Amino acid sequence: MFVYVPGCSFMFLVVPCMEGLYIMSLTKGLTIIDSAKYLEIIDYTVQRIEENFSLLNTMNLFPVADGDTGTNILLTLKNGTKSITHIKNSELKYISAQFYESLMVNSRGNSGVILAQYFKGFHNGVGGSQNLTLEGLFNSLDSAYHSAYNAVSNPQEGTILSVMKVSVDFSELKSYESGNEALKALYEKSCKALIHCKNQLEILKEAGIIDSGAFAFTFFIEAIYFTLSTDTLKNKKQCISEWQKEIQAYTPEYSYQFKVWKEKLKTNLDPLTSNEDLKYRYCTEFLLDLESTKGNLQKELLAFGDSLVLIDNGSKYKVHIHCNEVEKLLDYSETLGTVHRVKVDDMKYQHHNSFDLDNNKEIFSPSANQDISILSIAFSKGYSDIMESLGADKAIVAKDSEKLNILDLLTALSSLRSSEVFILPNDYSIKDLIDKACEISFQNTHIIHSKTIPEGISAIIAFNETDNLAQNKENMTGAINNVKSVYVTHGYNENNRDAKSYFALHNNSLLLSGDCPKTVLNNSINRLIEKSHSLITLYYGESQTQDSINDIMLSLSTNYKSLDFEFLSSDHPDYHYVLAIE
Amino acid sequence: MRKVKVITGSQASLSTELAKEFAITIIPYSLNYPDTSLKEGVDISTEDFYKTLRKIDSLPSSSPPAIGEIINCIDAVNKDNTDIILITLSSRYSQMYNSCKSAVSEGGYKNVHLIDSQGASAYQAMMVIIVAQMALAGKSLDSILDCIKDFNNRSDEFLVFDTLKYLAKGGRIGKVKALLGSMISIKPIVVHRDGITTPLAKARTNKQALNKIISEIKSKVIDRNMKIAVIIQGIDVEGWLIEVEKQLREHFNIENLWHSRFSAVTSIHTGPKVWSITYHIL
Repeated sequence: MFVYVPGCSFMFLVVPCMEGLYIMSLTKGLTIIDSAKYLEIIDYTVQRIEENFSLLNTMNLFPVADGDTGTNILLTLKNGTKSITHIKNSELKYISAQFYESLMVNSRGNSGVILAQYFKGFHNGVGGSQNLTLEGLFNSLDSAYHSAYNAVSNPQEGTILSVMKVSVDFSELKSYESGNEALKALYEKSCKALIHCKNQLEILKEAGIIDSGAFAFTFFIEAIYFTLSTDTLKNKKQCISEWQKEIQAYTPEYSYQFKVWKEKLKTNLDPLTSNEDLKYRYCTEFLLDLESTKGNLQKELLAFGDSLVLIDNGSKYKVHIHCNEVEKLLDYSETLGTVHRVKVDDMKYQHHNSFDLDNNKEIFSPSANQDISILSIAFSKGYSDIMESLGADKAIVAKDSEKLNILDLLTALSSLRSSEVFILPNDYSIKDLIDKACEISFQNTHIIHSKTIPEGISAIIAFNETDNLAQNKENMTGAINNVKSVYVTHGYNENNRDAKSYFALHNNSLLLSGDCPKTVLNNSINRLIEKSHSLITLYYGESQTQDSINDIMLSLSTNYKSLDFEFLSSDHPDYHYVLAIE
Repeated sequence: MRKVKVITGSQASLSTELAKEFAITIIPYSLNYPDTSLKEGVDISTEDFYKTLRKIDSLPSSSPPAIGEIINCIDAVNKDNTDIILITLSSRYSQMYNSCKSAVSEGGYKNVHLIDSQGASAYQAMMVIIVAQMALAGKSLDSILDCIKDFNNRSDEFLVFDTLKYLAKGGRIGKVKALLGSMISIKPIVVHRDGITTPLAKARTNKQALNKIISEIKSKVIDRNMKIAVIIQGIDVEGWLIEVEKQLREHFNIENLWHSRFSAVTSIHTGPKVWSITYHIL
């Protein structure tokens, strides 16, 4: 029979049963989550994380203090929402599936991968349902927790997992008088678990703050409470605000203990060795499409490093691991199947950056408006400085083309936060390596085929941030076609071992040779100059004396009065002179 | 028939000769030094000011005329049967537009038409000259205002900087910031877009810059049937401007080519060795 209780917004259904009478609220059996609600909850979560992502970054201490938990979680979830907003009218099971699949492919960082697995578990809880009841919700949260827990190779208390654990289990449900009470209890339990984590993890104990991944996760629980509870807006806001105040006490700005700990760290911190705690240097993520089932993949991968989170979607695995021998790991993985969407972050570099204690700078802001980055290969620091001063976002220095390896390329790519990357190889012989890196990297890479340093530099100059992708490609390729390059190096005469010869290389073949650089340079210009050329840039290497450089400068400007000249230092040990004629 | 008078600020790239030729009234800006304030074009000539440009740290700041001065200027040319067109530089560069707005409302003028040119320098000067030309030829106010509305589609100024130091110091660097630390000599080519300085392209030498500008103009001025008016100007680059004029005449059908000059106020933001080409399709 139905009982109306005055002053209460629910009707109570009193059900006689074997254990005696107990009251079950009508709302418990009702649908509380459909597709629209699911989307609302996710949107709310993303909004809250976005409000706090910079704080989450500064709180990031576990497993590695690389200051990007907030960024990683925000980007992971945002990419996820992008994939479901256009299907918002679909059934719940499709939306929850699409969401977790997108998270899996797009997840960033340790926390991102754990969240992907969490939402996979949530989807399993949804099963084939169109909608979820309150019980269904708690079931899904439980399934989500177990899914996430099982994916982490070394689960720790005091992290995001501890807060995930706190789903109201079935037996407790009965004690709540209404669905609203159950939802409120869920939220409060999560907040309590969050605050408790500072007592559970060593590093958090020392620093006096809570875990950032766990903190971010509570926004999801807050979203569930706020969106689904039919309590008044005032009451909900009040509850949330009170708990936020309590939690706030354990965040960097308000925690006195944190300030003390930070000061201590500052005095002990040697920027170059702050990462002595880093047993494994590279945070590596990739997707692995297995060709056949692999026995104990987790065990095999753990041989390479730690902090392993392994999640799967059938035969597609997402691997997140901290390791040192990245190339070996990738080579091994390729024997098992296809490796793609690789991301490698050098945590030594990030770790140092995160402790920008003086400035509290926002590191890697996801809203930074950069769509296209330029990655350029340089063969000396002199060249990389020039390239970066002209606008290359990153110039990798490799002494020669043989010394360049895929790890350098992958870490450089991962450090660029844009979705599109232009790569300038600036060499004839590294094509295969660059192709390989582009193939497996997670970014959209575009190779602009510069074969020499001058071509690369001209291409960088031709880049304009206000032009679009296609226009820039066209302009940069055009600039490459307009410049002629000559590399002047030396060798020893076959017949006379004492006589040094200078060789001019153009288009990857010998142009001419001579017994001194001045002659070779003058002759090369003679050979290649055309009427349309107006500028010659000469880069001189580190072995040339100031006298010989001056001598050459004088000679060239005198012989070619109608041309403009620019002389720059390149620091290169082997290429004594590099000419750019345009 | 009503007469049309044209007024603009001294910060536009208008030489005294051109201002006289087209009967344009100039309201002077002030150059503010620590111990004194000079009115540009009145207390100090632009050419004399250029001589002080190299010492970047002792350059003055500049300020637009006060509302009272603007009102005085308007009153001086405000006769019966007169419409006044007051053209200012982009409101995103300076307070001038707002000051003029206040002046017009305070003075209660019904016959003053305030125009934000959305540009500066010679782009603004081109608009002023074309408008003044039309006024002198007795064109109606409406046809002049129509021309102004369409001006953006038919005109552009390309500035080539020798250094970005001055632009950065003055804070008008807009989107051109990226090149500040460049270790190779770059000649940035800059245009006005949405009222701020925006990079168009980068060249290594003046010659390359000129080639690029010519090809940009050609994309709008398709053949010699289209007549254009041109303004060229530069600071300390007289020899080079001769070459610029020569090339422009070779490539385009130029009805009027005016040699103007950067104002003292603008030169504070550009530094020496800057030059620009402005065209307007007639």
